[in-house]
Amino acid sequence: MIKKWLSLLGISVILFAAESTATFKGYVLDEQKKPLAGTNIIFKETLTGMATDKNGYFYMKMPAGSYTVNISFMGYKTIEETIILSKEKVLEKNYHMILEYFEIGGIVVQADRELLPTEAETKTRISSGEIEHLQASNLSDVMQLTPGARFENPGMAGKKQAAIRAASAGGAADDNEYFGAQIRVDNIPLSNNANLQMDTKTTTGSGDLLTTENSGLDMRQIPADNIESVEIIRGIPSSKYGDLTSGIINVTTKSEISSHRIKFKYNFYNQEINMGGGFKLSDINHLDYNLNYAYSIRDKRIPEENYSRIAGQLVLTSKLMQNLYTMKNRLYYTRAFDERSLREDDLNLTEKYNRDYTLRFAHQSKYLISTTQKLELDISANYTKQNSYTKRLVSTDNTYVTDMMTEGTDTGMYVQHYISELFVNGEAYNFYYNLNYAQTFELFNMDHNFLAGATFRDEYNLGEGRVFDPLKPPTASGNMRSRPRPYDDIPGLATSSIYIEDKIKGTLIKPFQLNLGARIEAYGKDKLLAQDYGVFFNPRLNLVLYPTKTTQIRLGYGETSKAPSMAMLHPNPIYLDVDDVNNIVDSLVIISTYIYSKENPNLKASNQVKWEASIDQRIGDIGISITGYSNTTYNGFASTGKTPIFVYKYDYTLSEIDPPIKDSISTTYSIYENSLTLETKGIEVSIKTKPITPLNLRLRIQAAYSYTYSWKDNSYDYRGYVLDPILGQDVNPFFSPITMEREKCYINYNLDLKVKELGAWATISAQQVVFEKDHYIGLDDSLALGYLNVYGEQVFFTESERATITNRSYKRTYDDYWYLEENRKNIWVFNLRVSKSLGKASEFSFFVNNFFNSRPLYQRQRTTTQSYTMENPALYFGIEVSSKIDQLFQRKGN
Amino acid sequence: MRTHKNMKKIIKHHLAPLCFLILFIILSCTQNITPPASMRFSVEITVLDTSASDSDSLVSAALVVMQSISYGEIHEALTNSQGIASFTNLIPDRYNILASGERVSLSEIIIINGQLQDTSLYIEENDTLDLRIITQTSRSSALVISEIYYSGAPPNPVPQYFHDQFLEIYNNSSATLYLDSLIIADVDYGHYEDSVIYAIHAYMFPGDGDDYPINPGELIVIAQDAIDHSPAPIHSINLLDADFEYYLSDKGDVDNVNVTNMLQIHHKYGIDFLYSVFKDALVLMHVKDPYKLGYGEFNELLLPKSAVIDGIDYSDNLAEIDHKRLSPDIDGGLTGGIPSYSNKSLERYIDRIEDGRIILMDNNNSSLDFHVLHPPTPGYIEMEAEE
Repeated sequence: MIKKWLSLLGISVILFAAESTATFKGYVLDEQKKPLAGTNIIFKETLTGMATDKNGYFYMKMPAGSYTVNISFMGYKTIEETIILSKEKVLEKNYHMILEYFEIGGIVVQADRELLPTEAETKTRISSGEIEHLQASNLSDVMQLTPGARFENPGMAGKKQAAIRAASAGGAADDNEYFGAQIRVDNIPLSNNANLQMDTKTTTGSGDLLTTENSGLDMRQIPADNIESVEIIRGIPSSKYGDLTSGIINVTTKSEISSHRIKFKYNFYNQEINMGGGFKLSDINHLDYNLNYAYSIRDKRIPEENYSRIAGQLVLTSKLMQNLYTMKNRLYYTRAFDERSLREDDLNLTEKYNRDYTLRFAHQSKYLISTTQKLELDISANYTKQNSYTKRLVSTDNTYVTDMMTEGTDTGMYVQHYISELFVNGEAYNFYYNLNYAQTFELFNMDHNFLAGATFRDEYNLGEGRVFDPLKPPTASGNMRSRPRPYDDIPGLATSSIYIEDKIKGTLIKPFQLNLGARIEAYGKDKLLAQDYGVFFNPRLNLVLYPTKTTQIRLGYGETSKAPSMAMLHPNPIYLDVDDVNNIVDSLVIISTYIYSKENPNLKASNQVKWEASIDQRIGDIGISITGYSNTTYNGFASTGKTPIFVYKYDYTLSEIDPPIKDSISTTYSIYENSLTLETKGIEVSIKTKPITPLNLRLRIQAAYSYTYSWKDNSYDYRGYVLDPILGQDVNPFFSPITMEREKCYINYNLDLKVKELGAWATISAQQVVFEKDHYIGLDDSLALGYLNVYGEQVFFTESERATITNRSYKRTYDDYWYLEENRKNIWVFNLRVSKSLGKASEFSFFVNNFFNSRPLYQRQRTTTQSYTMENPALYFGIEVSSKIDQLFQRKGN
Repeated sequence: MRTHKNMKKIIKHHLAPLCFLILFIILSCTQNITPPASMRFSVEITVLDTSASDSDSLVSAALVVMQSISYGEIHEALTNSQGIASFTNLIPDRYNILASGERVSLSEIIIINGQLQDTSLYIEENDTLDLRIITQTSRSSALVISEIYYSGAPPNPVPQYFHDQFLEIYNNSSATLYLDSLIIADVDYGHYEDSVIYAIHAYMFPGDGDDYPINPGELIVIAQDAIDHSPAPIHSINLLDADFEYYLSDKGDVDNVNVTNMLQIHHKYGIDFLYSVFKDALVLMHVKDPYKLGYGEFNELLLPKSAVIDGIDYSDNLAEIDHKRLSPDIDGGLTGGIPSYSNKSLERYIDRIEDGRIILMDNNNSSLDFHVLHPPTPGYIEMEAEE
């Protein structure tokens, strides 16, 4: 995009009415010494320039002086050099551009990356070639190319969610990590905020929870094959990004391509076919398409459990007003079938599926107001139909059910077993509007790249909701039950935000770049500018200093915020069904129903504070980057906060022999609160080399160390009800929670051999788990903080009361093994990937993961029995073939 | 307490012929010779239990049997409160003398056995002889777990149905006992050596001390739910006639109003006091104050091991004898070995029958004392299974 903009700059050459001008002219040629028309020639000091004509010729007049000239053409290696233009003289130079990439039958092999990061924000950029070389089937497979992710075999058997710079900490901490990682496709943030597929899990134990509410999007729905590039922003993101905590995954899909390709991937558990290409419809319109079908199975012996996906995409690119206005209209469709059909031996007759489809329209407009001003508009409408189904034979303890939908008392019926069918039908709508204005200008001898914008996102769910026969509920154990619930009266979520950013480049003693930005985000119900869930001011700052030509220092600070999901804001209520009269002999049960809302009116968005410092150093042909960071999520979402329920039974007479308060129901339920704090700190080291002759080998080493610690306020370690003889009451003592500190250090070694002449690309990737350790914190805190009384209310001890605790029930001790540290050390895995061209238009790729079949056993420490886990993914391999099929289309076209 | 029709039937059908057989054997061995009455004399036999504490050393109500070896004459007498059994009209001969008695408390039966083999008794007419029999004792529970059905019903058509579980308690003694305030508890794994029981659940019989008597030879059934379970899983059982049931008033349980509810003492988890279908240990205890010892680390109620009356340790895998929950003083073995949902129960063997009263085997070793029964027999003791 930038390049096109610059070419426009070239077209509208601004000639300086200079007094003492010099002339700069010459030709730009490609590798075959053919003229390269449209090459941009920019003087960096003045930001002026031009483009070569169809003969590759350029000619321009400039004021005399010393300039840094930048010669660039998409796909070719940029040339940058210093020239001196003398007064009234003509400088004539010819440039030979060298291709930056080559193709292996359609796989684009990029040449050298820059040895040092070129941008202020820490990010990993992954090109389409790397994705194809990896044989990724979906976005999650791509994520293992980022430092700190453990190697896995490809597959789509389970849901896949993104974590950026975090060690898995389990439970709510992970959900917050996943939920706070924003996935953007073609500049449109995808959202899981309106996902209301709650309580789809029933206590059957067969298969995992398939849905992703209150957590990150399932990346399986994003096919890898249509991706042009993925950018994973791990550092401080630009202020144009909002509603996130941990980071951003920016996916750009292919557009404006001219060839057609078909590809087939096969490995033991996954098969995939993809076809994509583009047509030039007219001078102004270009149409691209992509079709993908994938099938995955977790275990060949269980064909009933499988996942299949159909994905399609259409992109219409229109260039209007002499290329000043570019419009892209995109249509995406994904249909996923996550199936758990009936297994022959399943006595519970369980059938489950999750069949979602997403239809998204995205409009993108870019208008160049002038050579320095740009206006962008993104509008997207996303419709996701979620359809989760569970059918099973419920066999429970003999109990009762009622179909009361309101509070009150009525006769119920006794049940023991029945076939329950639960449908959870969500229809999530997400509308996204973003207007962005960008301008470049010079002020006080510094280049300013200014942008400002406003975003509004409106999300709601109009699904039919949870649908089931209340007399055949999905679960019927205990007396806290659920009922059918439509979603269309649940308030929507509105996110309104404005942002500004200025990227300043200049020199103060030494050159520097400063990105200063701020974003104000308001989260609320339904309406524009609604503020029910908080207003956040999020400053972002990135500073790059260049003390020497081979050294750069990057510093960053930023704050981000993330809205709570609609499922956290509006969970399903609890229906407490109390048996006032219970007489199974005469089949008479009279039930009082009490309804408790689980909504927390005080729930607000969560936020993260990020710090980062990096030093990048080039030593000859080696580039080294060291980054230290700290991310702290505050007010993260967790289901904590015990809320008491206390109800007397209607007719139960208190008899002398009964213990006290036997005629009552006392229980608690928890609600979502901003109670989670999650700390992640780490160091990332990256070492890259230029090609090492004569074999043209490139080595890249990425080391990532991270430390993760999280805790929840208002979350305690409950030990269950016991009788306190002094109080004469049942109490549930609670202690401070036991938390866990985790540290991990992985080193990835990547050795690339790219041989253009052979059309071959081979990669050996090795991962070393240097250590991966965790241990408990808080085991020594042996005294209870308080207790829940019989009414379910929290009673806290004072410090002096705590000091005098003698009752054993208010004390806890842990055996010695609890104090042990788990540490997986020095585990290696080696993967091999080879891509080779077959003729001009086809290619064959092959991968072997864990080709040394190293699967060490790790003996777990924190256990009283001998227990082992097998490390590393299993030895696994797969192939891919692809071919260009342009001829098929050419016949028609010509 | 109800009497059980089934049991009566069994006694009628099986016990009566057995008694006739015994009588026949005894009669056929008796020689019909009558020595002169002038030779006859009297004997007083004192039965002493050296294992008992001082006050109990004289064994009362013990049956002393004297059998003349030459003539086969049998004389029987019971000891009085002084531990003395008086015999008159004895013929001088060599005698085998057997003494057997028992001392019954709530928690145990002490079986007392003593004998004097081939003892010559020749004395003057109408003289009186003092003999002492030093006895040996063996202990067994007065109340025993006679049957436990934990495996659940076969999955036809309803899977995972184990809500028809029951526990049967039998009075193995000759005295009427009371269930009032006795506790049934299940035992957490991992405290084999401790002097306390770590109870996950504990339920108590109601009553003030004399409300729920259990007569000698009588048994009671404690059901999870006292309902007819049979229609749903077709091989399940009818527990409508159970004597007690667990009713969890705050967990959505069902209540048979005609059956006495057990009182909840401690309930760590679950929607009923469900016994594991795989492995568990259950104990019957008599504890004065169940809350006296407090609680364990993970919400188990601590109960004194010395208060255990009877216990059973079971597992689906009998090889796991080193993973026992009960120490040998309660249960020296491990029983079970039956698959889950097999509709099989574990029943105690019949040791012997005394006066028409079944005495169940109680070696405090479930490996020896229990056998697998199919189908379960709530409320009666299966006689054929003895073979």
